[in-house]
Amino acid sequence: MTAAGGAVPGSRVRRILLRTAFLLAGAALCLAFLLLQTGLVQVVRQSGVAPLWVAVPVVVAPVLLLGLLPGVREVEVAAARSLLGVRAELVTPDHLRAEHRWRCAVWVSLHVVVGGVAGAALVVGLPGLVTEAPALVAGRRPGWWPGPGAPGALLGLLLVVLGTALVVAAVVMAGAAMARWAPWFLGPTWRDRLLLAEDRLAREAQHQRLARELHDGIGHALSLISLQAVAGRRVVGVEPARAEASLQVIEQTARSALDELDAMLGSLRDGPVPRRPAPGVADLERLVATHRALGLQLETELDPELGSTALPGLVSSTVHQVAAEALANAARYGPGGPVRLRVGLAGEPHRRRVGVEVTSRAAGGAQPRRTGGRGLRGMAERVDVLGGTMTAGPDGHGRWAVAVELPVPESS
Amino acid sequence: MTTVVLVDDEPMVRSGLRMILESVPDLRVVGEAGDGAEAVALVRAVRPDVVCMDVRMPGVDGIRATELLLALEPPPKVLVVTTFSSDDHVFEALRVGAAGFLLKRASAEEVVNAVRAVAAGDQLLYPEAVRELALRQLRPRPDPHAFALTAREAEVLALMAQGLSNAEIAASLVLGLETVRTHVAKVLAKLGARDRTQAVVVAYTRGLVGLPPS
Repeated sequence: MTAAGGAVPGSRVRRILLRTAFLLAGAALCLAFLLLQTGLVQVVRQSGVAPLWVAVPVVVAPVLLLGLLPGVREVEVAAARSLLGVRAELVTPDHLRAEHRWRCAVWVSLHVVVGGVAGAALVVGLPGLVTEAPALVAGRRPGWWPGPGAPGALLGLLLVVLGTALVVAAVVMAGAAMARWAPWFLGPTWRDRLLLAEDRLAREAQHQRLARELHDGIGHALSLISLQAVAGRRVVGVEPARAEASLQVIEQTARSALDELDAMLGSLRDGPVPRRPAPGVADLERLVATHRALGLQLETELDPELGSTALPGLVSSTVHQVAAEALANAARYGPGGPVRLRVGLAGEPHRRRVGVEVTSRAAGGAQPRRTGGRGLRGMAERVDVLGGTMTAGPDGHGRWAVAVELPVPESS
Repeated sequence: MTTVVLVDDEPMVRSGLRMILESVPDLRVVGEAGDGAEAVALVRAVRPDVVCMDVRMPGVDGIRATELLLALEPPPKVLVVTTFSSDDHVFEALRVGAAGFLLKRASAEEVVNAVRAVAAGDQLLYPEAVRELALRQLRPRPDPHAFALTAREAEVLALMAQGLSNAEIAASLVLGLETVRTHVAKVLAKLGARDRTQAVVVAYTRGLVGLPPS
């Protein structure tokens, strides 16, 4: 049997069955919670110590909290892949952030509620229809029939068939809907994607470095060897001395190229070079020193509190990136008074924000150019993803100002 | 006699090329330069027919140097010498007007033929590689009518892109050699190209010939 492809009828039935199994798993959980509810309602009713509605939050809360339990996300992801047949990327991050947690909690609640309804339809609705069927088809009048007489055999049959089809269709659609929604609840968040993209960029940079080393080093050496061999062969009959010189060049070039290859292979064999973490707030001093060494007149105001505050890596590296990009732009527009860099923390203890501000000469009104697609716009996108704000423009005193503010997540 | 200047930051590449080129009687190396700036001064002084130019050099690189050399009057023919045919710098150099390119791993015959072909200007070197290089660039916006070529001229241009010489084009289209020369000259004039290599580069970048539909 092929995987859920859609075209093969067998695989379609299989997919529907698997998705129904997923819903029934939710129904089982739902049943457990309903039993709990029933028990509680009885206890509350008999004792009379509290109003009856107390039973509702006492049962709803565990449904919501279930998704926060360790391991539940893993189980749900596995179920979504194998039972729902979700092909899109689903993630089980090592470090769950608030976003992952609440999405998973909502997903589990959805699983319980949708599964419960689907399960009830299948387990209660279908058998009900089956038991009513003989009476309906025989033309008797069931108790729930609104009309005065019996519905009649034909109409009765139609009602049974329609009812069955309705239940089956609803269950199939519920399974399909869950499969469709799963990626949003269990897939990567924007932050995950950002991290993934940065990871990929770093790997790409490593590949490019390797390609450059191969190109400049080994490629150059081999073409030199080829060229000298061609030349030597050309003159060996008439000018043996020059041919010998060519051989010498070939020998030396080959040897040093092999040394280079040796070192390169060695570094590859040692496994992936441990990734240097992206520069962050702690590296700002060095960034400032580099720009000063390059002749930029730079006034800085770095909040001493930054040193003692643990910022999440992504926030920290974004602060550094913004500062680096803005200083590079300022430097590109040459002298014209000092450039000012301010980095600091603000806000109340639980809603802290970190701010970066760079002001420089407005370069005769000219705006800093985008640098290779990763300039101001790349910066703005990244700031946006982190829920921050960014402004760039004249500051009203004839100077150009870039200011970024990022929220500091509470967990840090 | 064709005179040649060699430009490469690696002296051993220059010496190898010199040995190969001087092994035939009709070619003579009249100077060597280690970077683009030196090359321009040297070419101004010795006025060679052909300049063999490395594209990747520190300082003034091969592309900029090619531009500077082609601004001279009369301009020399520039033959780009490269390690890899897939190097984007090569296409850049062709776009600014280099007459052809040569791989450093070429055989002695290929080296000699390349210099002769560039000096004569009647054949496109490595048509396949030029096509590959063009394909690696940004997708051109096909505009087959941009230069108001006649059907015959478009046909001739397509054959030029395949690397056919004038004589081969004449044989292929059953035309006289003189007629083909006239067509080629008209194509170059309409495309504003200095030679057939540049004409083919323009043809690819403007979608006049042989790019698969995007």
